[in-house]
Amino acid sequence: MSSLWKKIWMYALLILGAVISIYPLIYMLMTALKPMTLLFEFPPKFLPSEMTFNNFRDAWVSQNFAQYLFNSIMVTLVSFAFIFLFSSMLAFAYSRFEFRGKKLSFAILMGGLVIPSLTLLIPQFILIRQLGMFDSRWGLIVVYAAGAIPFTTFLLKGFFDSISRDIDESVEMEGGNAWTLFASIIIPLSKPAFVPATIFNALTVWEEFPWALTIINDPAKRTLPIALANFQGQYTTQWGIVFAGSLIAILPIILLFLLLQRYFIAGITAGAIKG
Amino acid sequence: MTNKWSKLSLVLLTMLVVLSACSSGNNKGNNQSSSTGEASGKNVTLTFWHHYSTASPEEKTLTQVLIPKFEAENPGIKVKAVAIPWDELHKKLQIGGSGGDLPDVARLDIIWVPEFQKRDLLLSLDEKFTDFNDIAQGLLEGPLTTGKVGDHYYGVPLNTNTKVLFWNQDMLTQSGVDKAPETTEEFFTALGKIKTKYDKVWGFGEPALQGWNLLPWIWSNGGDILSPDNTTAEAYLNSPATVDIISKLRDAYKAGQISGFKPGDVAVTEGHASGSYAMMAEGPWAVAQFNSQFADYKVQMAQFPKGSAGSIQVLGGEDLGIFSKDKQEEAWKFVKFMVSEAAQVEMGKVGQIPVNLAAMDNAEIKAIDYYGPFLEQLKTAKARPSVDVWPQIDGVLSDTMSSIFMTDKDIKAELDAAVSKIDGLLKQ
Amino acid sequence: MRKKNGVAGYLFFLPGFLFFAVFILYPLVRNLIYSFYDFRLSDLNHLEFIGFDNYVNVFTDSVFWVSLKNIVIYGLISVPGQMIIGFFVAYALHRNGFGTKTFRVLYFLPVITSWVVASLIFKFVFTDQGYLNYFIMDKLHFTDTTISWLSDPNKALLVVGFLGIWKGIGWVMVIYMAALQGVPVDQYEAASLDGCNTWNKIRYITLPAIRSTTFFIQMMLIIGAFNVFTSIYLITDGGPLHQTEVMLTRMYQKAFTEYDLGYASALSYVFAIIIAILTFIQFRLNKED
Repeated sequence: MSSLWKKIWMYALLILGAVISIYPLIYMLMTALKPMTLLFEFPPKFLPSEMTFNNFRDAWVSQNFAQYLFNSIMVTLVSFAFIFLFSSMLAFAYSRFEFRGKKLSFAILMGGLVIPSLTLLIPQFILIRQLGMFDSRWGLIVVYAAGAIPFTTFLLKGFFDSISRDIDESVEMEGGNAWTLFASIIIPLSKPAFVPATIFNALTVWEEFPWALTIINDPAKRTLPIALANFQGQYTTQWGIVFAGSLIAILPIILLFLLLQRYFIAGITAGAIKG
Repeated sequence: MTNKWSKLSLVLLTMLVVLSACSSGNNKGNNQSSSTGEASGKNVTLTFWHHYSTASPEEKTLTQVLIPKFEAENPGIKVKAVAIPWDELHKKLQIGGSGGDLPDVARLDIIWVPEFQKRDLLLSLDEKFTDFNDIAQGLLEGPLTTGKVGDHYYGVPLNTNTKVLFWNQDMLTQSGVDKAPETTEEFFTALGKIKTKYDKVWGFGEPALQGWNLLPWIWSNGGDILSPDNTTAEAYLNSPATVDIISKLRDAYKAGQISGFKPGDVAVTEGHASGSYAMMAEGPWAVAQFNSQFADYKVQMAQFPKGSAGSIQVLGGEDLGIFSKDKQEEAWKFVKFMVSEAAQVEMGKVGQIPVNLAAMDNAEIKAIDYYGPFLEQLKTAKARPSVDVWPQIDGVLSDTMSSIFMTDKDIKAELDAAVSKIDGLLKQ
Repeated sequence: MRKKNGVAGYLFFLPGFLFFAVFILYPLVRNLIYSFYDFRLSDLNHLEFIGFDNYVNVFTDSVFWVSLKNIVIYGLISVPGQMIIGFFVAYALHRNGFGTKTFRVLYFLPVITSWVVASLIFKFVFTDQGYLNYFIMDKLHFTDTTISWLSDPNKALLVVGFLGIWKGIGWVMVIYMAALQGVPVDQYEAASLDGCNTWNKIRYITLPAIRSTTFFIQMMLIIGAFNVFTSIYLITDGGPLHQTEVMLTRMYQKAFTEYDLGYASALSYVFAIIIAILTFIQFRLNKED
């Protein structure tokens, strides 16, 4: 009997926690569905007494929202190509080789975990301009990718370490070289590890704002966060549109998560985190 | 194995497509900029940075009415309008200024002009264009001075504004105040009466404690922040007239009669419409917001309360500045177009008070009833000091005033400390 | 265990590390140089060597010490909060049961909600006339006086700390859940036979088995706490009176409101050194255990 009570308590707490977890998203949805006049009503009402999809329509049509969405997807995808290529090679090097400077370079790389990207804004700006990548999506991609390398390398190295070295030897015995081991054994075996890496990195790249604003001048190359910021005026902000736009913007990430979440836990398991 | 390879090649293929799409985008951009850079006789694209917020009526007027009209009147010139949020625009111009990544024309908050002029980024308009004086004659005197630094003009006013007193007639009547306070004394008396009647609301809402918020109080009381030649704050910011009004405001804050600038306070404009602040001083944008979001609220406006020196509000608004190096003539054409009567009337209809004298006499503008109080207040409005370090001075003011309001520190001592900080900034 | 040596290792190592070096390390070194110069946003072409002046300014700035104190308070609220709640949620959900999959998704949603949006919503909820006060005062009638959540620095830090917990539980849950999968089930069964209750099982079997994960989470969360920015910037902007300022909001303000990039660079190095020392201490403590 007491175990049944325990279960009931546990579920009650879990439900309470879940409600608190999704409350802001629901609040945002409710606000986005309210017509302007009801936004600042007091006493506040949770459910809109009048529903409208105008905010969603305004957010979508007012700027080149589709173009910005496309840019965001593009930048995110190419950044991921770089992140995974460089990080998996690095992780492989750290997991399977001994070389001079290994420890020191790994410590430096992990130091990269603690650098707030904001502090690098000005020197990166000067660098990107010297490299001729100013006002281009490449300028976004290289900086996003470089910033994500430490954490991704760390995640992947943990996973690679957990793959038995016996495999290395059998590859070698069959005459395969390091690249064979990397490309046809380690990477395919590590598929699950790329799922958490994708999810943890996706949001960072997707919602990055200060850097994108600093180096992109051409509206045709803007990403979604800039579009959202433009809804906020100097004196007044159209909250309904801001929230509607934010919901549209966050949807791809939620979809990505729902799509991948089946593999998510499995990906983190198997020693990925046991640094 | 084949399965794996096909997957891998699929990934690679996608990457290729994406990469090429990106790079082709780049090339397009480069071609554009190079083609605009050369031939000024053929097709020229002007870049115009502004901070009209997206989906606002102003932005729609700009992109759907004005720019098409300008392009039709000036074949060969295209205008690319880029919206950037207000504070970010300032930062972007600052950073871009160091490497020449600037627009051809930008809409500048009037307080930024001295700063960008000092960095030698803005074109001196009266020296470059012979018809500058003809244009200037058709514009309002006060706003025109905001574009002047030293002996020359680096900006042309685009729109002007100031703040007036908004008052909730219902709440004031209930509190036994039958009309809007006309003097500072009446104002503070009214605050007391409102507090007696309504325990949980504030008589006046002030959204921040910067120069924009405090200068009207200080000026109207005969005080100031800087000397007329903008070289020192000594004997101005810490003068008896300034100390006097600041201490009155602090007393009102301590008595729960003024709020709005603390984190967590009810937003002032929204709070005014919903009965949290009986009065506030705001610009014409508040009227637009009331009309669209609080249709039931009956807007009442009056002149800002008179002090010993009169009712002196702060001048706001924007100037147009030219950053262009190679398309100056075209940029000037665009600037002239934006301050022409026709363009000013269009913008006037969506709440941007015109600076063009002919536009102000235009029947369509005269028909906008809520402009009345603002135009009256503009007659005595003053611009904030024209110094390049104004943004930093604003920071000092805000810190000092927060410290005065939220602690019990001595007002004179705090202001003395602020004076030495500001004088340090001015000497840089 | 045999490791390979030679050129191949470098071929795998160099591309990624060089990329990282160009776009992160090089700007970092530039920053170090700037920290010894009078370098301002108002003119990026002007550099004037001033030695350690920027560092002296950092340490003599009273707001720096306030921001350091606030980071510690924020960390003390948010790190244990995320770890404890995250662990129990993971413990409750790590084996498949009724509705566990749905719960996992719901608890993870805050992790993928943007910081900007989450901060704006928390601000709406906690303003003086927001939902929470309405609920406390007009629904529950706990009190009659408005609770100023955001203008009292301590309460404001509590709110921001709460936001940090809200946003981070899902992350901690996922990592712990992965670790819990690795704890052998037969150990629990043996303990059950010995008459151990749930609490003792957690204490004597689970926690020791996942110690390295706990260490990893703790380290990442402390680093995360030092990096708190968006929530404070949008909710209080360091106010009132800089009383809720943290390192990054101060750095941002110095760099972009006061244009003092030299100071901001110096502050970022002071900041990095503090994190480095903390991390070092943690590693030592973890080894000693």
